[in-house]
Amino acid sequence: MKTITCLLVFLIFHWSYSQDFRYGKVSTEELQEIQNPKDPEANATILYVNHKTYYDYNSNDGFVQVTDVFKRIKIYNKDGFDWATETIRVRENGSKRENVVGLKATTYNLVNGKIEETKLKKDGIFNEKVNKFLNNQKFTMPNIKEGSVVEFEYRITSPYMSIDDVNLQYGIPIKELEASVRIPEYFNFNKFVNPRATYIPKINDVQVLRTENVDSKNRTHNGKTSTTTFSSNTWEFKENKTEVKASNVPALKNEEYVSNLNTYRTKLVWEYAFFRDPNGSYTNYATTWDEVAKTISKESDFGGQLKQSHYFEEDVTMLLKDAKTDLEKINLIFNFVKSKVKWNNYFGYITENGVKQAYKEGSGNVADINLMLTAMLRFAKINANPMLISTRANDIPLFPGTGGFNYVVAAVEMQNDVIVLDATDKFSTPNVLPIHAINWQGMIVKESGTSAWYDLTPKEAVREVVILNAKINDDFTIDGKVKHQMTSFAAKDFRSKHQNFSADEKLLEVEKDKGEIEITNYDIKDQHDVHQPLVYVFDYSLKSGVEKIGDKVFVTPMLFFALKENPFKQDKRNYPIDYIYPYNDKYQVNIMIPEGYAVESMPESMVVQFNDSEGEFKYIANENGKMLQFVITIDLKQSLILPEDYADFKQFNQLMTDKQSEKIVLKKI
Amino acid sequence: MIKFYRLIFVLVFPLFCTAQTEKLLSFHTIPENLRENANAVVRLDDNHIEIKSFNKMVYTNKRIVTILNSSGNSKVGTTVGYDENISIKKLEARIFNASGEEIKKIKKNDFEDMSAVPGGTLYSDSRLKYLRYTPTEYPYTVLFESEIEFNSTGFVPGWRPIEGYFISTEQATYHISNLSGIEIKIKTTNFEDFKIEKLGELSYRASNLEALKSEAYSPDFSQFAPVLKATLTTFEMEGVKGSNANWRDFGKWMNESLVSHTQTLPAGVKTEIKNLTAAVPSDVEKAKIVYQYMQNKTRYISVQVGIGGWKPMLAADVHRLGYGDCKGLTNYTKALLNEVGVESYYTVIHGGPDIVNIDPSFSSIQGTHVILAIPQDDDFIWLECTSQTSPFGYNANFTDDRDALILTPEGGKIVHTKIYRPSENLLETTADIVLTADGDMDAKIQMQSYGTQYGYHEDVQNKPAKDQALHYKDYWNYINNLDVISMGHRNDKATIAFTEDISLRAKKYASKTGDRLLLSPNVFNVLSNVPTRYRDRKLPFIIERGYHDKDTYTISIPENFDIEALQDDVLMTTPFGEYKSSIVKLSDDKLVFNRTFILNTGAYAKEDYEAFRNFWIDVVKHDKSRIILKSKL
Repeated sequence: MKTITCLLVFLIFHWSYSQDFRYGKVSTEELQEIQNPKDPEANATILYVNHKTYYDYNSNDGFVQVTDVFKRIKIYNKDGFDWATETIRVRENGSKRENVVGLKATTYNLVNGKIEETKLKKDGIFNEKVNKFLNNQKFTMPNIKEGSVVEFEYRITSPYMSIDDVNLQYGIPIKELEASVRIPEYFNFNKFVNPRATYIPKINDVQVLRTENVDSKNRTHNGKTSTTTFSSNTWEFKENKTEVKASNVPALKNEEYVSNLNTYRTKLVWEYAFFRDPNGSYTNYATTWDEVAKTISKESDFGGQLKQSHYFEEDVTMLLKDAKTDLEKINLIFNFVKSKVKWNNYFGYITENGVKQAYKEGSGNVADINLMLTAMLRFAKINANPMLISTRANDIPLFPGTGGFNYVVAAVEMQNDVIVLDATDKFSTPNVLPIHAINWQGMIVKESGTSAWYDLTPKEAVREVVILNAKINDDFTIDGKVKHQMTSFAAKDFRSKHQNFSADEKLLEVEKDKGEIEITNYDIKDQHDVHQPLVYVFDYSLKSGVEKIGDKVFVTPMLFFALKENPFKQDKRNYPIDYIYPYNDKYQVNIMIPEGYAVESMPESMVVQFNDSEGEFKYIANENGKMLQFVITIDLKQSLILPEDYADFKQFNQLMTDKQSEKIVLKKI
Repeated sequence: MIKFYRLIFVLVFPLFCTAQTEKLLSFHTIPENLRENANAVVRLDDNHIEIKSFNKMVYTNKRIVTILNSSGNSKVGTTVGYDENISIKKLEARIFNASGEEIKKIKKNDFEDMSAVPGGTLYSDSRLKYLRYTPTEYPYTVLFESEIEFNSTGFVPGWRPIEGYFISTEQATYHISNLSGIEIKIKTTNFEDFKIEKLGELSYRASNLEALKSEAYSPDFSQFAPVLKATLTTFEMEGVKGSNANWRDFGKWMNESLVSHTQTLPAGVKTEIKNLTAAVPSDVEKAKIVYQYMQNKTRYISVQVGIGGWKPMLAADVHRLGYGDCKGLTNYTKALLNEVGVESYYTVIHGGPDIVNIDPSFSSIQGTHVILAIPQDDDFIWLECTSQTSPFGYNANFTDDRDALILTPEGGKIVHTKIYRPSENLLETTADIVLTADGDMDAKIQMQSYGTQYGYHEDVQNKPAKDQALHYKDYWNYINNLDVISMGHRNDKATIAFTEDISLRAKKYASKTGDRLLLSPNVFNVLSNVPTRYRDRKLPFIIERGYHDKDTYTISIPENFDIEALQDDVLMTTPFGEYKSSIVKLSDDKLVFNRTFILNTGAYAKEDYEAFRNFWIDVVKHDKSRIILKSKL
């Protein structure tokens, strides 16, 4: 008996706190809530969201994709007001247009203990035609105050096959989430959960039976008369249903050094794989990666483009007439494409204008340029293949299918090595791609119709060497020379930044953040020859390099190159820090001290390591009479720093910063 | 007579043009002086405006621009905005290579079309057509021709012969043909400095204008560059006829045609606001209640439709929906104030951190923002109605110190908004600092900010705690190993003062060398960002908002340490400001550091820049200077 009462009490207790998520059933408790107990700093909270995607059937259009969205959002304070505005993206392509129907929205406020409802009217709904392919339907809720609850629902009907990503995480926390996607057995999708997400809810997959009544009309001719009979058949088929039910989904919160927060959002991603009609015949869209490679090789705006060569044959033959080695040929062709065709800033792994047109007009999208490059390399008997990539902003390709990709480069395989080329960027060199193209792995699509993966993370360290000579004068100004050499990504960044600078601007740039300095004889070598390391030299005169207190003189060996602050200030991280490439910086410093002074103390030599030897900071100091020598190296072998290593990495940076700010102390003799 | 003139125009103009054009299509004909500091060169820019009547005008533009490098692409000037009242009649671009051979032609239908909804705006009915062209080589030249018909004559296109920084102009002309019989007003600024010729009453020509470089601390571009403004004395904006002989008339028209009839409120709110303010006698107190009521009731949502975004939403709609843009919210506040018998004026202004005036001597449609003015003695109280949190009467950093147009029942009037003087823009920092023998520091800091500095500081209170801690680590980024122990804020909106109480710890703040500790006694307010050095500065410079910093720190030195070296007192007085610092020994283990920095508001000649910069450098040097403590053991 006792257990039963307990159970009853529990049930009642539970019931009284459970909420009613039917439209319009907003409770006083919801309106009274002043903060989210699980995340008190949240400016707003999604109390309930329900996202349903399914296929309606009617005899005229067949299956039509439908998405129902319902949200109830609590706004705690003024910074949460943005959540009272919703934007629905509506795709349009000629007559194929998505539609938003049944938009209903209400704001609830508590006024003198009573719930006051304000409905969204037409004057709060705006339809913006962004461009040919996209409309934004926007609405903003009326009568929003601190404490308001807003509720809205709408339906999107779509003539398109593809299913949009289903977001399971937002910039504010979600208390209750329900999402379901129900797909008739004829349409087969691959489903993936973003593997970079830090929050993964439980996902249920079930098969359910569905019955449709199909009305058909039969007309029979019998001599002079014809009769029409109507019959109704029952049609039974299976549906694959994916369901997510989750409580207290944490907010997706931004962090420093995260270039695209969306990369970490919890979401379901869908790829259309194949169609099987009721008679059992298949149409494949994508199944295995090799299948993808085969399919894409047959497409006219991909594989077809690689087969064309007559448009360039004459020019390329001329270009290569004196070339002997394969490497020479590769470089000639690479430079030729870069100078011949300019990138129009559009991504894509399929061509926009076609290679021939792009060649003629001198501009094209990524595929126009890099498929042309691949075709020319093949023409020169180089083993070159296109490599499909998903750019940084485009997430990572999750499943066999082309939908995950949006970029293509050329990959040359020679002597167990792969050289990756991207001719869209004039400062790019072999294996030094634009940053947006360096994301996880690329897929090489071979002529044989097979595929292979290639890790795009740069392996070779980017090297910078600085030689800094300094002479401390009697008046405590410093004169000296600098030589700075850099390779690959560092050189590429430098060239790209300086490309349109006048001599004046270059000087302003190099003098920036170096204190009271005057730079002369500034010379940048090989600014335009991207195949050489970049070197610059200058002479300087520094007024603010030395600190004099009492009769002591203090100076930082690295002068204006010293790290002034630790860039990492937060205590812990949720997401990794991506340096993109490993690097190796070396500073060689020679300092000459003034007459009448001697070294009282010098920074001591030291070595600090991060995560065994993934990172190493080495500081070597040497006193040699009036000449002081320092060799300082920073070596980072691992370019991705994981959140669990963050604390160590922050400490590593702190030690580097502290060490670099240590001073030489000179005393009068 | 008129006919005769037009005939000449038609006959002569095209001839003159073709001969000229051909030469200009080649890069090689650009004079050497126009290439200097230029990313693009305007070879020719013919602007022709035909005023057909008070409600119809046609703008024709023929433009040849040579783009010298990829930074010049943004100067091509081939984007045209339109909406229901602006229709594009002609749009064509032709591209030429360096030697002037045509390589591409782009017709009107090949221009891309997109909506023009600026950031922060929910919806606008403006659209754009723009040229999408990927340059295949540099330099290249674009010949662009457009014809645009306006059914709204409120804005007559003006003219900037120098279009911006890093772009030079070989030749540009501006010409108005007035067929309407309505008087046209024109105002030119800085034309003499650039030898711009006046060819006729409504006709100008500029030639050989070299590119200007941007420089730090320079005034707004329109202060020193040539600008022409034009307006019709009778015009129409979307079916509303207006008159514009002077600011008085123009303001009257604006008030009567666009604003005043939108101020009706529902009966319920009238009673409500009257009841709320009944108990207080003074207008200012009533206004404070109304402002607070509006802030609680509304939020800022920008929707720009109709009449070029110049007509406010109905006050009743703002009340019902609880949102509006600057016009709607200001107008709503005004309607509420009307109800409680407090006079206020709808005010048109240029909003933004840079100070830009509504031109007092030239009435026309100007401004980007609307605020509310409440007359108070001989001055005004300014209300920013788009903020839900701003204190009553606070308008620093966005609408301060500039000429604005107020709409009074008698008509428009230009008045100057509140100036925040350096002495009002005070930041007072006090700190108790305890130093250990290892050089670690514990400190309790209080910062009180007022005036413009209130605006820079109060923002921190809206951040999550984690970000607040990061904010202070960034604020004192020169202190390494800094840990924030506690933070507290007090926002006193009545006196407009923001107080921050922070306690923190920093390991090894003082650096240890042997038995000595070195530290900078100016722990919490170090000036940095020395103004950029220019070997040959071209532009004058301004400090728009001066300020006043006052610091007092008590430093407890560790036991068994003596003071070995202290810095001397510093006093610097310059036209740009003043700096004072001193450190005194209070007792054997206590030092007191005092610092005052005043930066004056002012406008200066380019010749003074070096002195200004040197003053700054000296301050930076003194701010960093250190003292030495020596161990007695």
